[in-house]
Amino acid sequence: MKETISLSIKELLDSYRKGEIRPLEVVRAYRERIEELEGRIGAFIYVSGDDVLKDAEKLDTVDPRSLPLYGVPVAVKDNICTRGCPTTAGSRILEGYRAPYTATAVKRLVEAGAVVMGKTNLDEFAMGSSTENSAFRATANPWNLDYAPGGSSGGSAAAVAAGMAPAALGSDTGGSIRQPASLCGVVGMKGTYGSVSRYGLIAFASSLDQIGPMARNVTDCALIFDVISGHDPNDSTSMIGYSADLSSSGGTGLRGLRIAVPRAVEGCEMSESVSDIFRKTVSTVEDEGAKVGIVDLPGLDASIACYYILANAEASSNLARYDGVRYGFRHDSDSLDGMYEKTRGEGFGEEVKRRILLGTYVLSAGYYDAYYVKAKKLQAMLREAYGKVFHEYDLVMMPTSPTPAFKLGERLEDPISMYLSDIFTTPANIAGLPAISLPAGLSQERLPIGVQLVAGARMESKLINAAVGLERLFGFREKCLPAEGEVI
Amino acid sequence: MGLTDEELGHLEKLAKIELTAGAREKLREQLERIIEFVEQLPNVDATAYDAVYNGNELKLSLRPDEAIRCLPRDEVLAEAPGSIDGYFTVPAIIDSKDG
Repeated sequence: MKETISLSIKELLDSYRKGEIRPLEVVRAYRERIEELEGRIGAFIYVSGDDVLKDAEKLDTVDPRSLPLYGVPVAVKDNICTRGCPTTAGSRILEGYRAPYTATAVKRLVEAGAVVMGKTNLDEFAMGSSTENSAFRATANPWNLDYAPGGSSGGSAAAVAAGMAPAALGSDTGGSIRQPASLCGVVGMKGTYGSVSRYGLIAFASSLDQIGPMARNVTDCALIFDVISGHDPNDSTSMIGYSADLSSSGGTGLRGLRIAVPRAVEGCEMSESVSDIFRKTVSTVEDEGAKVGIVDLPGLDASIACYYILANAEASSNLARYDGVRYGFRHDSDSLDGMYEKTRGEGFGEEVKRRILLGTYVLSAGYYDAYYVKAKKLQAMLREAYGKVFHEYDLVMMPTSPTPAFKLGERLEDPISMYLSDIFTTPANIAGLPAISLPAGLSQERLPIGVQLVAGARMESKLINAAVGLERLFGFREKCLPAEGEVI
Repeated sequence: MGLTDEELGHLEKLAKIELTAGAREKLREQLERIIEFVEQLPNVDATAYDAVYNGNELKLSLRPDEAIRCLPRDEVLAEAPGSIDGYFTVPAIIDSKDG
């Protein structure tokens, strides 16, 4: 059983095709793993019931070669709608809500043969960097249960790191796939804005949100991304004519690649272990024959301020729909306004209220030009700057997070210290670019540290090619995991 | 730049969120610090640029003007906190004495 849950997706598919194993056995193995560990980790808000065994059994009549994700168990972040089971967005205001439709990304996974094991925990409405803002529970980092898994896709990251699913879907608005991937020692990627349909993703910031895969290695992420990406008529912001074929990428190595490192990285406050591992990564890729150059990109601290203005402005608009009228929690009142105000006051958690109020502030009369319009101009400047870098370079490389995982509760009283977790991840969202985090090593406390690659728009194949090469150099799974291959 | 209690009250009204008396002051202070944090934005000069308003330079794409299947009303109403005869119900918005 331990062996089954240690298989990569590629290995699992090979085993299915050779007839060595059946979906029911695999799903049972993962369910047992979830039962064994969920009490300590709390990765899931909802674990699929016995229907999932019937879904696995039905696959016995299907040729394994006909489905690209035949019998692959996946976990889905709970801000992604799934008909037939609850979708809460980690919020009391949607407690018990059952979406009447399934998100396109999940529909594509299931049509490709994947089996949904459950819905994972997240910071409420994807707002946070530790998963502690969930209304239901905190999730523990499988590497050390006193530590946070990162966020907002912390449940998905923890589920994959603990071997509860070989892959999971997360969502990334300012780093919410990449940062928890880094903190939990797994791979997480976000594609170009518009590469994956947002239909069925509960909106946080519509011009920044993207669904993306998390898995134990780069190739598995690429397999998932190939299935979920591509134009969707239900999402008018999904790119027309876009298709990824990433699972065949990865043979070309790092030699000859031109990699840019922003000069601002050096001046950023970060843990010594992050700085050490990043510096070693730069030398290692140079030794492999890549050319590394330092580039001047607009300050990372300006980009994070830009992000917090834009994302919260959009959130204040997107979350206006949670008013107690059509779905979710309602606090009854004699007046309509009273119902809205009390429903939202009670139904939303503290961080969500903070962000809605900040978003309202920057959009309000008298402040709109000074904050929102200015942030939009800075976004244009950042996009142009990144565009210029990608004329000369193939990739930008940075740490993913300034620190390894932090202790649960450590940053709750200081929202800004939490926001600074996103300092290296927000630029890719603001510029709409594809980015990936892969685990590079461990801190002295044996907590994972990730390195991030960013590519030009629609250049996911370049991203994955380089990431496969870097993954081989890091050798994280061979060097940093316990002998049996699972952390906990 | 500070955030006064009056300004916070204005934001509450705009956002339709009622804050408890106990939470107000702490939230006001936190928001003040966050506003200070994002206020470094004006230090970067992006005046030469036009504001960007879409995610990936897409032009608006329209679908054919044909009726398509939409969500079944009963399924949608099943999630409503209150409904009667196919309608969502809410507190009265017209005063009965106004007719």
